[in-house]
Amino acid sequence: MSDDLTEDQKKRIEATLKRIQAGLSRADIKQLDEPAHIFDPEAQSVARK
Amino acid sequence: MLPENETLSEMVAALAEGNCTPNSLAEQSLARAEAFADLNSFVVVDESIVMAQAEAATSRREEGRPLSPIDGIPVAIKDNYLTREYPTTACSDAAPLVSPGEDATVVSNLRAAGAVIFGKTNMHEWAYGATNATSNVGVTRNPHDREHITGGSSGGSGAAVAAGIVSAALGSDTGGSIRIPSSACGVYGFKPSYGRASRHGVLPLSWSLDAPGPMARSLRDIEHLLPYFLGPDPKDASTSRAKPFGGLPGPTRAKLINLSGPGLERSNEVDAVINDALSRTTYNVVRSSLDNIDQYFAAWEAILHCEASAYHHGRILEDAIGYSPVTRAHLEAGIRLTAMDVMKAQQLRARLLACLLSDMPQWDALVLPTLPVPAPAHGDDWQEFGGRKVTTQDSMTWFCWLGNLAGLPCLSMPVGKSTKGLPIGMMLMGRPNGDEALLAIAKTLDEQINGAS
Repeated sequence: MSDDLTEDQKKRIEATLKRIQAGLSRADIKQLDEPAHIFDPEAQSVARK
Repeated sequence: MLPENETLSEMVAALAEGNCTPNSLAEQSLARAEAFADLNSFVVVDESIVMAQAEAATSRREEGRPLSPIDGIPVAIKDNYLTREYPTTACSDAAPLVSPGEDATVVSNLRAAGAVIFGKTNMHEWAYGATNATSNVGVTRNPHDREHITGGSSGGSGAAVAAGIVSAALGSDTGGSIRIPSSACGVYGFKPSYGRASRHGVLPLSWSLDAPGPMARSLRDIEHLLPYFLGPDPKDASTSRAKPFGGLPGPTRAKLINLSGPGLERSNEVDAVINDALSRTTYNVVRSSLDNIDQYFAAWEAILHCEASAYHHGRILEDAIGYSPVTRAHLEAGIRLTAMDVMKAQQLRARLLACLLSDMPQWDALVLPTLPVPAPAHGDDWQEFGGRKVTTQDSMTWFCWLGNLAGLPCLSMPVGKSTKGLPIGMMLMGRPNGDEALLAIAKTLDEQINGAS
């Protein structure tokens, strides 16, 4: 943690991470489940000014 | 008492018939902005900038060459959209307080149609919260009861439209930031499908969750405005396959799923209003639940915080104290998420989409309350409903984040009031890229529930 964070900020950060990681850890995710990433090379092919 | 002013659609008709002028509309909006200054809905409104645009629009109409039906109608802009003439602050001391001299694509589209860019609206700092309680220009007050919040993050836009200062305003939505203040303030708000509307020039909160959209006083108004949002923009790769607004389909049968169950609790008062509203529709409405809400919420939160932290990383290293303490804590949490956390979140995102779009019986719209409670009071940090006790922040995004995680088109429409007279909104979510179909369903519901014509 950064030294300049207040105790309240540190508690908020810990609570947020705990909540996220608890939710993610409960999920029965299969190794081969593909993430919802978006990769569309053609979308980057646009005329630039 | 709120003014029973015109909707944007009525202004379009009045301008076309010569019953008002852009000058008179601008003067009316300026007078109302002054009369409702206590709402704190605007960061900045410059009379000379407004009147210069209105006078140009008046001249065009006098010469019989309006640029579009909305030429000369004032539209307010959330302060995270870049605007040529105004600085863009995101209501944060960490934002550069200078005008970049560029319009966001949506603003540019509206300006090209002759809309009067009226002013910049108050918002939750960096759109990173849903109460509008955190803003470097102070809280926004709900026009229905000043002691209550507007919700956010597009709270200034919601208040300005509800008070009748303007008939339409722009918002942005990452976890409900258009729908939440629309519901709390009793107006209509539309979040387009992800990738259908250009985000270019709208300061990002989370690249894969953000969507810009309109807030207005009727669904017909939303229909007028959507063409300026939807369609491809070379400056936003996510819109490379976006279709322009295609007009609304004719009346069709629609199947609605009314979602409820664990994780989707709401107050008895809100539940009663939604059930009463749905009892008045001829659409086929069935109930269903959605499992694992807590897991999907964790996925949304992980994606939100990591993308926001990536965007803000350079700025937070240079100007950490420019952010409010809570916003900084969000950003610091995002920095601490691991790559594996984020990939798991994206796996869950794919699972949610499969669940909603493939596993669930065919549907045309998903229905939820927009908020589980009416607009909370200022300073009330906790909400209790349906056996749950959650922070006011979490209560605001309680249902809405689902639409962003899934990238679905969503809207909020008012369907009733609480016993204290505060608005209660209903949320509809449509199928991906089915923005027009969703709006058509909502218009039918609005006729059946609210008697809208």
